[in-house]
Amino acid sequence: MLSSVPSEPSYDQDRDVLDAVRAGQAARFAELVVSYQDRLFSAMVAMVGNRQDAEDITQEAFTKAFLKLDTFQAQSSFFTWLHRIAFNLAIDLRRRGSRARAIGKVSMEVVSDELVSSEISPPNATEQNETQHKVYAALAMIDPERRSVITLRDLQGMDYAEIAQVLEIPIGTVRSRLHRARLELKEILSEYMQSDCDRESPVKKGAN
Amino acid sequence: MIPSELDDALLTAYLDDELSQADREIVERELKSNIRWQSLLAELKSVRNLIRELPKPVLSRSITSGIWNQPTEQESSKQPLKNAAVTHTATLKPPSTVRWYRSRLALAASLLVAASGVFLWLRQEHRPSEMALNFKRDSDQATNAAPSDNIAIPSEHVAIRKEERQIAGGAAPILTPNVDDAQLLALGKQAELQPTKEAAKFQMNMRSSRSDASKTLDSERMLAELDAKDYGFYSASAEPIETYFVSLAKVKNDNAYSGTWSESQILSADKRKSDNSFGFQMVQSSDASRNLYRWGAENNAPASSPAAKSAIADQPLSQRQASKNEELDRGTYAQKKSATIREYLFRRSDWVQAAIALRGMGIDLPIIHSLDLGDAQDFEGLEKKLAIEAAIPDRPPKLTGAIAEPSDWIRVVVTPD
Repeated sequence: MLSSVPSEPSYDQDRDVLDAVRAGQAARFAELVVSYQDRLFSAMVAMVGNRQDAEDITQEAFTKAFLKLDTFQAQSSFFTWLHRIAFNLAIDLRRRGSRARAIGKVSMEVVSDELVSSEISPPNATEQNETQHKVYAALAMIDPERRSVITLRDLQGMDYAEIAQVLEIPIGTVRSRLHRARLELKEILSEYMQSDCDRESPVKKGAN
Repeated sequence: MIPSELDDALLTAYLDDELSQADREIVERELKSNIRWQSLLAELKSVRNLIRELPKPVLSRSITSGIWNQPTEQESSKQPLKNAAVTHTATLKPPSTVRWYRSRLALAASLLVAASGVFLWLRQEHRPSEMALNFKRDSDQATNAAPSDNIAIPSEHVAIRKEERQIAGGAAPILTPNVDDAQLLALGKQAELQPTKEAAKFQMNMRSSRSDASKTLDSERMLAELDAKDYGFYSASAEPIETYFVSLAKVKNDNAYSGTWSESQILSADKRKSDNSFGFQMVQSSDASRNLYRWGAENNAPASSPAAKSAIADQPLSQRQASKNEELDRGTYAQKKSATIREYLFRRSDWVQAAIALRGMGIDLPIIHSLDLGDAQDFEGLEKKLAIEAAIPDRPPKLTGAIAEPSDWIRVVVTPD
């Protein structure tokens, strides 16, 4: 599991907030929005390939979560449930299929420029920009189902069980999709990975 | 030794610390002596690190206020959630895109010409769909039945709710007025595939006969470890719909072959109905494999036999045989082609079934004569394939519509010649 965002509330804190919202203190839902909006947005950018759609999906996901809160059974964490809503919205967006807004290579290439240039600080900007641009472009080239899994795992830090809950697929499928996704990215990014591989031998230094 | 392709996935799970202690020990033991695995693990780790190191984009604005007009504690505390949700639905703001357009509209209003243009454009862009209007009518009726103050659901949210209702209801949407939905549903059900362990075993055997690297794959052991359903191995029989395929093991999700079924492969497979273990092994569309297929079909020998391999190596398909096959192909098409059924409904999540069933019914084979039955299982993939095939000049496609509906169902419309 990746390290969590410092301000992220615990499961119990979420539950307290949700209980309060259910009891009628709807304004407290904003606490959940503030806590999770950036993390969810980050995942959606990776999924849909542009900030505008990602923002809309993020907002819509919270809206739906709020409206359907009485159906939330707490069998998973709120964060997992929220992701499921958002990923379904991202899939719907693709199905609705506005070409200009579809999840695809072109939009991702465009957004990779936008993202990389806006998120990287100046000192190592050039080299990092180039690599990260390639990584975003490579992500855009892989199958959306695989992209979902790798986004949830490597960007969101979810474990396999959580990913399985979000995407409603078996854990075995999570594992195989993730493996395929990494293999596919490996092929696309082979030149960028070579130097990284040379730096570290997994056998000597351990896998993790 | 665990050198097979499937087992490589263990490395990913190992990297992510998602293995049981026993499996972890197996992997670590293997890693000590398996150089290929050492290298692969390093590469997988590098990929993982590259993704993890991507910048995390943050919202340029808070969306909190966009979700609802901040309710006061006093107001909201008066109502339990369900009522609160309705109240706030009434004041939900549309997504930022819509707000942006509206602000531009306000600016443009000062300029008469621009204002009218923008206004017309906005009207077009945000006009509620028929679906939304239908739902609005439903909503209005419900509202009339139980009057409530200040309920004004923005149309974009209405559309979303309508979609949810259709999907939740489990029924296919009415696509066109002149299509019998019951018939379409029945067709969809006929085409549904059921996961079977036999199919999984078959598929694994196919893998082991196909790749040198996986020759040592012990499919029985793998099956003991894997739930066939988890891995989505499916077998299909289109027999209820005038058999074309006798048996097909296809793999859902990510364990699929990437490859192309050429029409000659399909036809060869058809000729060899009695030998399922051969008919669908080939997924490569190279000339060699096509020849192999034809050779196998004509000589009643498995593709993996030494005789078959020798035939490919030493004896390319003769011109005479090629002509004969072409003739046979044309005859088969003529026999199979029919346009009596023109619309089909299939589950979107399994559009490959649509292709299988269409072929199974012998309808318009040229339309989808080269489909990837591997990874591209989503609707976008189908559209892409069809678009590619539309560009084939000597076999103009007759598929006129592959219509995306906001549901779990897709409709494929085929027109006659």
